[in-house]
Amino acid sequence: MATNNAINNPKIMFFAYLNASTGAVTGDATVYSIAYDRVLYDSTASMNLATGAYLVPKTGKYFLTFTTLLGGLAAHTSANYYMSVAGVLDWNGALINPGVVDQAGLLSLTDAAIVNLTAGQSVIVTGNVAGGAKSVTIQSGGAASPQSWFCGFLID
Amino acid sequence: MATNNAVNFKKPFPSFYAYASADVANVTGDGTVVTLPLNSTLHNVTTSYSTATYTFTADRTGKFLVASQLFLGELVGHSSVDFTIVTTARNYAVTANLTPMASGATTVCGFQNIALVDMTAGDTLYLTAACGGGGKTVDLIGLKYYSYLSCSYIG
Repeated sequence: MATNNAINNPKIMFFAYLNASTGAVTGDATVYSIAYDRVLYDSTASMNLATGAYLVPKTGKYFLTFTTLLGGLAAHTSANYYMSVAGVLDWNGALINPGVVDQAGLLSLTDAAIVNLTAGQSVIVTGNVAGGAKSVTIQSGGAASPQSWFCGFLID
Repeated sequence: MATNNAVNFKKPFPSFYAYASADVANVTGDGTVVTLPLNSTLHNVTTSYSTATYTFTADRTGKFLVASQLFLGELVGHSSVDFTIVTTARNYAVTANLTPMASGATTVCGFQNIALVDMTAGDTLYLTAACGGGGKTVDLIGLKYYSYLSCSYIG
């Protein structure tokens, strides 16, 4: 008997975060996909901790969200991070290009969406920072204070 | 027998939307960390959110979807903002330190913080904001659609 009173069986959900520092990966328009290396939970063990790709375990509608904390910004002119199913769909994502993104180092980008996904597809968080040197890092944090994360759940 | 995979409405589950009923002046700007004084709710299904302490207390263990927004006003050359979902177990922060953040007394900046957080029954959740790089002149912008904390139990 189903006794819980929220979105129930199956409870497909995950929360991945970046624990290890990336070093400088973008800033000169280099595209860098975030390789999340830890999970707080992942009910179907679908997160690839080598690539950061979430392998969709079941077809359906998913709520997905990410926050990416960029570091090492120094007068770069644009930053764009977004969720992507390679070759199928890129969601617009978080984009900022006001002229000078930052002159003092840090900026979080956040986006969320409810999307139709097919079992077997892989979702990644990818993007780039442009307009300056390749000095931009993806900031990391431990389980008590994640700084760059990607999480979601199956709605139905 | 568990058969469906959609929403079961038979019993209420924690879900609320809290906001500040009016602007609150001079809450930060000098690095002061303020708990967002979200003193009103649009809905508060299990009354687990307190409009007195601005804190949600989980009545069950599970995952909760949090969608929140912060609007700050009267930024005058301030240079950093940290907007954090604080749970008993973790802090989920979004950060910006544009320089200068803004330059006018009427300038408003908005920030979003969204996460699927894990909580154990009895754990608490609230929002904090800290703006730095200037005087303590920065206001929290209130009303239903500016600064808010919304949350629902997922499972």
